[in-house]
Order: sequence, then structure tokens, then C-alpha cells
Amino acid sequence: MQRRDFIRSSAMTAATLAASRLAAEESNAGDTPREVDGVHFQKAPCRFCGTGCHVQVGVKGGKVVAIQGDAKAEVNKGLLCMKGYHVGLALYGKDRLTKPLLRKNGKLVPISWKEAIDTIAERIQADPKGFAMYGSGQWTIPEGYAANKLVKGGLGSNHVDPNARLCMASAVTGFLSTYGVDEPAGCYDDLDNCDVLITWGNNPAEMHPVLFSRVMDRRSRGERVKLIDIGTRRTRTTEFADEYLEFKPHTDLAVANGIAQQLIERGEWDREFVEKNCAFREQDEPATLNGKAMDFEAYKAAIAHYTPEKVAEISGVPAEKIRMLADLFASKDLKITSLWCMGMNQHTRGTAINNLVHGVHLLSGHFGRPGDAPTSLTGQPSACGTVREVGTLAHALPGGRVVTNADHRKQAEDIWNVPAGRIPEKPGYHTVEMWKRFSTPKDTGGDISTIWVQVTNPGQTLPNLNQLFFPSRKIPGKFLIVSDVYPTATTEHADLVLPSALWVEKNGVFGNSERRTQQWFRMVKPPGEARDDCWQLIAVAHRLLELGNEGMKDRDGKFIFHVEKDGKAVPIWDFAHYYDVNVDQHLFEEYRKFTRLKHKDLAPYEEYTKARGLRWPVVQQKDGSWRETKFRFASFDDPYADKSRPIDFYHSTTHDHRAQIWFRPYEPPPESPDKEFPFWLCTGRVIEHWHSGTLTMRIPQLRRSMPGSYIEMHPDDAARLRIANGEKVLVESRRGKLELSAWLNGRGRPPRGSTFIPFFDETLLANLLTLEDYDPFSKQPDYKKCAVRIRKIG
Amino acid sequence: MSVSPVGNRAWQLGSAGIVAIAFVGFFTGLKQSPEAAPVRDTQELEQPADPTPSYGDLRTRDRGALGDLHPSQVQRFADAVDRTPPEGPASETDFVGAVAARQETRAYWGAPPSIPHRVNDSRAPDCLVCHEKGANIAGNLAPRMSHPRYDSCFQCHTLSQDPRTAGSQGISPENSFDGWKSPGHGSRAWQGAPPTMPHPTRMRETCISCHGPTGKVGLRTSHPERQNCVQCHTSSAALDQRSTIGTPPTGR
Repeated sequence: MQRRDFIRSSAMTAATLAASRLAAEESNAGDTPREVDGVHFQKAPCRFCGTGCHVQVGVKGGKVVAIQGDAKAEVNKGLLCMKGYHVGLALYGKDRLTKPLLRKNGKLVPISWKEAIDTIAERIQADPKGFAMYGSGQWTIPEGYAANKLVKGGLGSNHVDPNARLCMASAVTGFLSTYGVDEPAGCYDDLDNCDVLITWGNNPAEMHPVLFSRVMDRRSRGERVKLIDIGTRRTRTTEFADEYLEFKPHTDLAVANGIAQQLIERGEWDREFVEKNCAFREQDEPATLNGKAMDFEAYKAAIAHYTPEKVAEISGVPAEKIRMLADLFASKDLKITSLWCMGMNQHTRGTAINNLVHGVHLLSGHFGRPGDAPTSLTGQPSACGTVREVGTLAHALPGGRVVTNADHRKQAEDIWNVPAGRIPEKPGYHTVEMWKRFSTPKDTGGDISTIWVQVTNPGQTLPNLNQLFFPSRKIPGKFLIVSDVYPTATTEHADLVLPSALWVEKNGVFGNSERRTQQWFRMVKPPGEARDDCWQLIAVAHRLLELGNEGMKDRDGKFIFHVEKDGKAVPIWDFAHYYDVNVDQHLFEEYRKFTRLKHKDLAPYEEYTKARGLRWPVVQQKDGSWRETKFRFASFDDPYADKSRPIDFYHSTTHDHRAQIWFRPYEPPPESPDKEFPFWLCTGRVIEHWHSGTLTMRIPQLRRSMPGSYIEMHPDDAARLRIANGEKVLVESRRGKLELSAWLNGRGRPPRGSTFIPFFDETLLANLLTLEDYDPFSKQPDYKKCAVRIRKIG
Repeated sequence: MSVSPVGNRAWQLGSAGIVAIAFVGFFTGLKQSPEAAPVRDTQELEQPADPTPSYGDLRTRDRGALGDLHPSQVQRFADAVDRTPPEGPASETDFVGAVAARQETRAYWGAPPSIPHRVNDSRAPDCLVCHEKGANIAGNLAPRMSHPRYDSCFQCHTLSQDPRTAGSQGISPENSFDGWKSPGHGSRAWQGAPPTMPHPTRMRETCISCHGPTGKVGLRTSHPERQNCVQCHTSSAALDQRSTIGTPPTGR
């Protein structure tokens, strides 16, 4: 229907109309492949970001030869972005890793898989508590689940943490401390219904392009959508914005508080919504995630400080713009969606700013109607599915459970059928702590001796690499294992490198930003001896069993990854037999048992093979069909919400159906520009490259479009330092230095005193400069601000 | 020449009336004019006018391939497109050449083409200036968009040149991807039957983008006067994702 309207409004020829009507209207349900001209097409979610577009992968002669946007996918409705259209090329870079490599006499030399698996198992067996697993939001759900089970259920250790700690941990703590349960209540349908879209430190035009155009294309259809960009530098998103509000780095807390202050002062907050559904909260001493209750009068007194003038003074956003934002939130007839991603999450006050944006929506009642939603986006394809839902964090267990809760541990031990007491109560090391201990000698507290990295690139993406990554490479006894598909900034320094299968070279399941679980099947074979990450985990577990590790047995003495077919055990640890069964399906069905507790119900694996993803909770209907949930807590849609009230926060931290509106004061950042280091540095991404560029830098079309990193600065600052466009500069922070070229009036435009460096380029490591300081609750570091100085070279 | 006093009087009265109406009209107009005047965008008022650039600025300022064109110039580009229909069906040589040329800017058949010219990377794309209707810039044809209007052009279309430095080619990493190629012609049931569409219609809804005057020689239709292409040319249900075959996979 939308497509038809669109077409009508865009004044095209009759030829056009007739053709597109054919393309758009006829669709048949079904999941069977298509074949055209010998090319076999099947569905898969895109390998890149957290948007979770579906693509149609065209395979011919055992190779991927084409990609189409999947017309049946609700997320992207047949469209993709430049990365999605070229995702198939990611498989075919010339330097794919095809053999296990072990460092001998300083050089990586090819070894057999048997030697590789033996080496890992022997290292773990020698020091199980000194072993840590560093995973990823790019792990598939079965991979992350297997890793979690191997370490927590098998080795009895909680040292599993993912790169998603660096990516969305503050969104998690924000949701938990506000609603008592993780992940957004709304979904992408809000983007089709909002009247106002507010991007908080967010550049979706480049980072979530398909979602961005899903909103902006509504304008081409004649709809009015107001875009308000609240940011620290002008970006491609700003180009589409009706209002651009530029705040001084870190002062987004003041901006959010300013809106709340205005709503309260003018009496324009939504009394009915708040009285029925909300309570007020503030920090306790010592600080805990859930804080302590405060009454409305205390909240009112605390927030009164943030007058528009005061906020203008702190943030640099003019007072009338704060009033403008308050006007919008005070209008009940408008529907407002907020989007955020790394800007709010990579923040030493990340939990606090997440709380405040939820708070503004709750206080104004802009919540729970389609189009009224505070929605965090994720950067990785399965940060939600594998990390947040499977619980591959050092403190978590599957299905929203935590290791510190005795009931939760017992439930996990029962489902895994492992002896009671197997899972330790104490959380394992979070990412920064894990790598700090790996980079510290054993006799001075560095009790992590072996780290196995899968599907991520910490040698490029950890903050402050000189502190967290490089020292370990010089300490005797530290062993770094890396599973990846290409040589990276991490494999370069690894002791053991394992070649992995990538994307459609294996079966997989991802979970995207809108609670959508998406499945795909293996379509082509991995190159050389590259093998599935999940197989690698199971093979190591089985080798440990052979070495006599009792943790690898369940209560009945069976292997913890025991899989049967026709009543017989299948030796899935032997790669020749790994695809005798669908291991993903077995792991997924076991994992499903965990998902009911927090009402994150998943459907059977089979259902996902038919659908372009389903949003949880997916609940079985009387007729046997499975129904997904678009709007959580809203009783018109969420089957778990109490039907007697419009909104039901049924996981409330205070067990009274209420969400928490927090008072969170603005506090200055840990490092600000000063005389010695006078510039702000922000790091981030560009549209062409995804994450550390391992895949996208090997795709000619993307690399040609953006070949290397640079520093953006304001032309006035550049003129003062006599730096012209393209000239080499030296950028130094208190932690490291980097030489790169300046790009003035480029794609992004920082204000005076601010600079920006993208982190995709492995030859120009932005994280030599960044700060490892993190949010006290989420332990997520701040990549968005630190102080640097800049000097022209030569 | 005698003028009837009555007539004269009537004329005088009439004139007075007209003058009076004009007066009322004038003052009403005056009164209304402040409201009727277009209200300037507040944002526009806040932004100071661009100062004259210094030579230093000119060195660093990237004005894109087309710079900031005057609208009349844009119109001239659109007018420069030769809309004379071809005299007959294209030659096979021209057709093969056109298909090969298309392949050069695409990773595979069906991929969005990369942008073969410089663009201003710092602004919202002004691609539509030329590509909404098609243009001829000094002999270079800017094809009309093949798909409905989407505003975020850089979402799908990559640059083929390093945007940071003028004109320099980026590095092309080695990649053994061997993309799907166009099958060429559609099929004909008999000689003289209208050919089927050999490509999907998705994102290629505007036939005249390639088959009209801004398309490549070799692809242009010999009968542009016929507006309803799908009257005769059938599309492919399989290419358009409207049909499936085979049995569901199992992942084993």
C-alpha cells in the first residue's frame, strides 16, 4: 500500500506504474528458494549492522554471485544499503584464512586442526580459571549459546564477555533500571508512524541507512516528519534535519533534564500516565543499578535546577531550543520516536543518559502508542540476540538471568543438566577488566593467561590499545587465540589463529535491534580448511572431555554437547560429521527453554526457517500458529500485559507495574580539553565500512568509496594551525599518537575545538588515542570523547 | 459633441465609486500585506550570508563536480538531452557495448551502480538536480533515476573515487567475487514477438531511465511513443521475488 502511494506521488510514466504494481503487490508466503538463470536464491539476514535487513543471496556453482534486497522482509522492504548490496563480496577477499596457524619462533606457521584443538584444550586444562572467552555481537545465537555453556556450564567460570560490552552495555543497564527488563518496547513500525524523530548523538543516515530512509522516504510520499538532530558534529543526518541542536560533548544529560524541567514547570507532563505507570528514582550510596525511590516533590525540586538558561550555559544549546523540545513533548497529539546508538552508550554516564531519555518519554506519556517510543539501536547484527538474550556477558546467564541470583543459577544448571553449584556466583571479568588482567603479569594480579577471541577484532577496537592490548604480547605465558576469517590487527599479534566460516558458509541465527530473531541456512562451503566457530567450541569441549575434564559431562555422564540422531550419538566434534544434523537447531531448541522467564519467548526453530524473522515474545495461538509482538508492555499488542490497563510494565524493578523516571544530574566528563590537549576527539564510523573494516575494506566498491581514515576538524582551527585539506597531521592524546591526514569541510563537520576520526582503518588505529574510562554500571568505555592536541607535520 | 448631463453625472459617480473601491482595496491591501508576505524561515535568518571566500578558502572548499549551479543552467542541461527517437531497433554491437558498459560500474548484475563522477560529500546529495529527469552535461549523459524517488542517494550508491582528495583513485583490494552477469536479451516466443524483460523490475520501475533518451545507445526503445511498456513486455516472477521453486532447505 505504501509503495502504491509513493508511486502516485512521484509523477512517473504509465510504464513505470504498471511495472511496479506487478513487483509490489503479488507476493506469496513461503520460504523455498527461487531459481533464475541457474542462480539459486535463498533468504539470509545481512551480515553487517543491527538493523537486520534480509537479503536474497544468489548462489551459482557453489559461489555467491548476487544479492537482492528481500521484498518480503518487513525491516527493509526490498531495499538495502551499499554494504548490504555488496555483502556477498565479503566472502571472496584474496587473503581468506584457510589453515590454522600457530606462532613458532615468532612466526605464524600452518598446523593441523587436530594440533590447534589440542593446543587450546591443553591450555584450558592447565589453567581453567585463567581462561577467558572474548566473543561478539556477531556471534550467531547458537555460537554464543555454545560458548556460554562451555565456559559457565562446563568450566564453571564466568569469564565470558563480548565486544558488545563496548557497544550497547549502557543501553542494557538503561532498560534494566528503567523497566526492569532489557530491550526496546517499541519496534521499527514506530518509524512509520512518528511525527517527530529525535536522533540523540546518532547518525543513522550513515550507520543505519535503511532505517533512516524508512523514515525520510515518508517525506517523498508527502508525509510530514520532523527530524531533530541533537549532536556534537554535523553529519549526513543533519542535512535532512529540521532542527540541529549542537551540544558540548557529554552535556546531553543537561539537554534531557532541560526538557523534563520545562514539562514540570509548565505543568505539561502527562499526569495520568505518570500516576498510573511511573515512579521516581535517584542514585543511592553506594551506587547500585536500581538506586532508591524519591517522591515527586523531591524530583520536582531536583529537576528545577535545569532551567533552559542553565541548560544553555552547560550545553551550548540555546534556551529557546530547549523550550522548543519541551513544546514537542508537551503535545500529546504528536508521536515522538527517539533513536540513539553509540553516542549515548559509549559514554561514562551512559546508563544515566539512557535513563533520562526514557524518562522524558515516560514523563510526557510519549510511550506505548505506535510512533511514540524511546528506541536504542545496536551496531552489530546479533548484539541483541546473542549478547543480551543469550547472556554472553560476564554477569549474565541466558534469558535475562544473572549469575548473582541463586534461582537463576539453579535454573541454568537444571536446563544444562549440570551439577548444582557449577556456575559461580561471582561475575566474571568484563571486557576492560579482562584485557587489563591479560596485559598484567600473573604475579601482579594478571590472572587471565589465555583469551580465545571469536568473531571480533580487539587489537583494533579496544580503547587505549597501549594499555589494554599491546602489553600482553610481551608478557611470557600469555596466550592469545583468535578465530577469524581474514588477517586482522588482532590475528597479527595472536599465538594461535583459527580460520572460520563466514555468514552463509554456515547455519546461523541473529537477533536484531527490534527483538527480531532471524535464521539462515548454509549456502556455500567455506574456503580451504575454514570451519564454523560453533564447531570449534564443541571440538575443544570434546577434547577437554577426552583429557578428563569432568565439567564437560552433564549429571548423567553425557557430553554437554551431546546430540542424537535416530537414538545414536552423532560425533559432531568431528567436522566430517558436523553437518550430519543441524547443530544450530539442537542448540536453539535447548536455548529456547531459557526464554520464558523474562517473557522473551521464542518460537520453535522451524518457524524461523519460514519467516523473515519474528519479534519476541512469540506466543503460540489457539490455532497452533505463532504470533510475534510489536509493542511490548502495550496491552493492545503484548499478550503478557494486563488487559485491564493500557500499559503494563510487568517486569517493574519495584514489582508494582511501574517504570522508573530517574533524576540523573549532569556531571563533567573524566577528561576534557585543556591547555595541553585543547581539542575534543570523537571516534566513530562511516557508511562504507562496518566495524573494524575486516570485511568491508576487502570489498572493492566500498574501499574505493572510502579508502582510508582521516581527521575531521573545523576549517578555522585548521587555518590557525596552518593545516590545509589533505595535509598530514600528528594527533596526540595522553595515551598515544597517530599520524593521519586532515579532511576539512568533508563528510562530517565538527564545530571549533572538536575533531573526529573513524576507526575502520587498521593501518591508522584511532584507539591508540582513546580513553578506557567506563560507565560505573555498564562498564562500557567512552569512545566519543577524550582530549587531543594536533600539530602539522613538516 | 453633446454629453448628456445625466450620463456625465453617472460617469462622475461611477468614477468616484471606482476610485473609492480602489482606495479601500489599496488600504485593505496594505493592511493585509504584512500577513501575506512570505514569512522567512527562522533558521535562514540566523545563518549569516556566506562571506566571499578567500583564496585560502577556495583551496580547501570542495564545491563538488557541478558546483552550485544556477537553475537556468540546470534547465539547459535537461534541455540538452536529445529526445529524438532512434530510427529503428539498436544494433547488436551497440546493445552488447551498452550491457558491458553497465557492468563496469556494478559489482554484479542488479547491484546499485557506483557514482562515476565527483560529488560534494559534505552536503545532502543534490543528485536529483540532474538525475531526476536526466541531463546532458557537455555530452555526458546523466541518466534519469530508474527507481522511485529516494532522497538518501548515498545509502546505496558508492563513490568510485576517494572523496577526500580531488580525483585520486582509491585502492582496489583483491577480491575473487565473480558476480552475476546480465543474460542480455529477453526471450521471444517467435521472431517478431515482444521480448520479455530480462531483468527484475524492482528498483527499475522507470523503464525510460535506460530505454529512453538518457539511456545508453543500444538500449533505447525504438518506439518511445508507447507509454505502457508492460502491455507487451512481460516481467519475470522469479526475478521479481514473486515465485519460489524447489523444496525447503534443512541446514544439514
